Amino acid sequence: MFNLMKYEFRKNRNILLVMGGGLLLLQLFYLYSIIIKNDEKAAVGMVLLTIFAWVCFFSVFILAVINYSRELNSKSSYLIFMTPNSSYTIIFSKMLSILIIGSAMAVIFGLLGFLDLQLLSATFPEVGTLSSLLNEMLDALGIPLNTLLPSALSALITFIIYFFASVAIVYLSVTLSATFLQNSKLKSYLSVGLFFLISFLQGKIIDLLPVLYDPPHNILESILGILPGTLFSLALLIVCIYSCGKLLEKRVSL
Amino acid sequence: MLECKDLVKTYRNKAAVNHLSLQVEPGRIYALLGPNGSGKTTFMKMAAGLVKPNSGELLFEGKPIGVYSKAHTAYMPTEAYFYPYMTGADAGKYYQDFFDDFDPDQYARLLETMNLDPKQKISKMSSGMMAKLKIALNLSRNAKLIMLDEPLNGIDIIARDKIIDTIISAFSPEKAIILSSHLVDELEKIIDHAIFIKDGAMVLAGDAEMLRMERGKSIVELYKEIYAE
Amino acid sequence: MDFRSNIPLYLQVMDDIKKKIITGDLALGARLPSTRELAVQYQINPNTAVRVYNELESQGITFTRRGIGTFVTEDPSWKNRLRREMAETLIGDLVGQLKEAGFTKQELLDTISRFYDQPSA
Repeated sequence: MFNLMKYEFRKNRNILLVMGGGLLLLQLFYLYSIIIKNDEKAAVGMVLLTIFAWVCFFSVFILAVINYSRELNSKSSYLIFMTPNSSYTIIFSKMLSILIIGSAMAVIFGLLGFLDLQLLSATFPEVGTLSSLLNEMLDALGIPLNTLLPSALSALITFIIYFFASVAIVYLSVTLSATFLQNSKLKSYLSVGLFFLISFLQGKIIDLLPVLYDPPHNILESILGILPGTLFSLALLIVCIYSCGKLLEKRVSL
Repeated sequence: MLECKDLVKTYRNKAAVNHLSLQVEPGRIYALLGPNGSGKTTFMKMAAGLVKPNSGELLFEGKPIGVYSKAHTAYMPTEAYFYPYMTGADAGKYYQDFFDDFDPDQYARLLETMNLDPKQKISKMSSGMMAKLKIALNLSRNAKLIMLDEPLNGIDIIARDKIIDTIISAFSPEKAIILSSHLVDELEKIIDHAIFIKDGAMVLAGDAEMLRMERGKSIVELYKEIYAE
Repeated sequence: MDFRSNIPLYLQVMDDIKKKIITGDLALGARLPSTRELAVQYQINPNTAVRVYNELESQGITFTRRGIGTFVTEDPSWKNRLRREMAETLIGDLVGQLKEAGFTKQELLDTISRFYDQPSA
């Protein structure tokens, strides 16, 4: 498992380096604007950094998808599938690597965002202190300070479940294209179609599920409110991974 | 060691392997013979666990192909199967990370005898160099079952001798080696057992010396006779 | 050694080793390569190499010292026996074929002695 993950990181190294380079450039631009005390440039830097953070998070999803589909559709798949590892170990190593990359990114962006905001309020006192900014933000979202931690935690878990449910749906679609659909010329289109179909059905079913705490009074309630949908996504995630593993074990043809 | 019963694999309704049954015993070197497209590669990929059969049974030491068999099987595909960033040294490291039976010293020795630079990127190698690298990697594993798909394809005469020497040296009584080829003459002397397959099914198989004696023909001549049409 | 497909491989390798004993390339009592080395040297299957040594040993041409290796017999009479065996096989074959082609004994002897005097011709 550890070895498999090591090579997952190695394969993603270049893309991660590009992301790191981009972040460094934007961060330097932002620091420069702080040093010359140009509030317009600082604002631009802040906006660019925020956009960049979202692009990076989205790229992690793309990365997860591309990694897996490239694995099943190229000869380098032999390298992984000839090693003495079960198909589940292989799938989990990929997902765990993505989770680690995503978490590392969240920590880095979170930490930088915190420091950048500190710098901002220190350089331009008229913006207000960081804690007052944060309080305003929390007030706007309707989160009392005492529920901050559980809210953040459940938001994170919900996000991770939804994220990996999507990843699992992609894996299943790609695996289907490499197994049952292997003889079809349209297999790559079919797997994209399958992904959208399953995701669409997932959305439809979640819509039918009851929403608790309607209307929610704060973010914690709104997160707990979609618990049925979250649990359904978790079930979908498990089913997709199980089917993926079984397909790889019984039907794959590399 | 490897037991295969009534094995079938179809691609687009065409049978690549068609009701194939055979047994592989330790202590023997097998030649899997047949022209391109006769099912040699598909059979090897199934034994390596890269392709799953549609029906039939395939057992390694009595167990279905899986984690255990993969730990003890070295399979050399015909294709370049490395990641684009890999050098010869990276590929060795990879094998060392995943296979307990990989011997890095043996690998270093083989790269040297084959005049390969471990620091060169595999994607920049000529096809002959890559063929030698793949041999070196797989024969540095002390695996019970070694399957080399077309080991002499695209290799010049000098390197060919080195590869044959390496295969002979890697052999031992607990191991079975399967070599596939559509050029049989270069394998004739080093094999114990010949398996001729045609359209995914076995047409003739047996001890090489027995076949020569019984039929009064060399394996090369038998090959020509079987695949004449 | 040129490989001939119509004779079992182990016999061909045995003949080659016998020839080396006759010519002195392999001295009496000399140590022979291990089966693996023999296999690599002749590029033959290791099992065939084992068979070569088994057959040679059962004929008394070689012997094994356990743990040390295989050796050519030290009995000097073997060299002559192998020489005679070689001559008988080759000449027997030759005479048989030429007799069939209608050569007389005298013609054969003349041809042989002429070739013997100019061996490289």
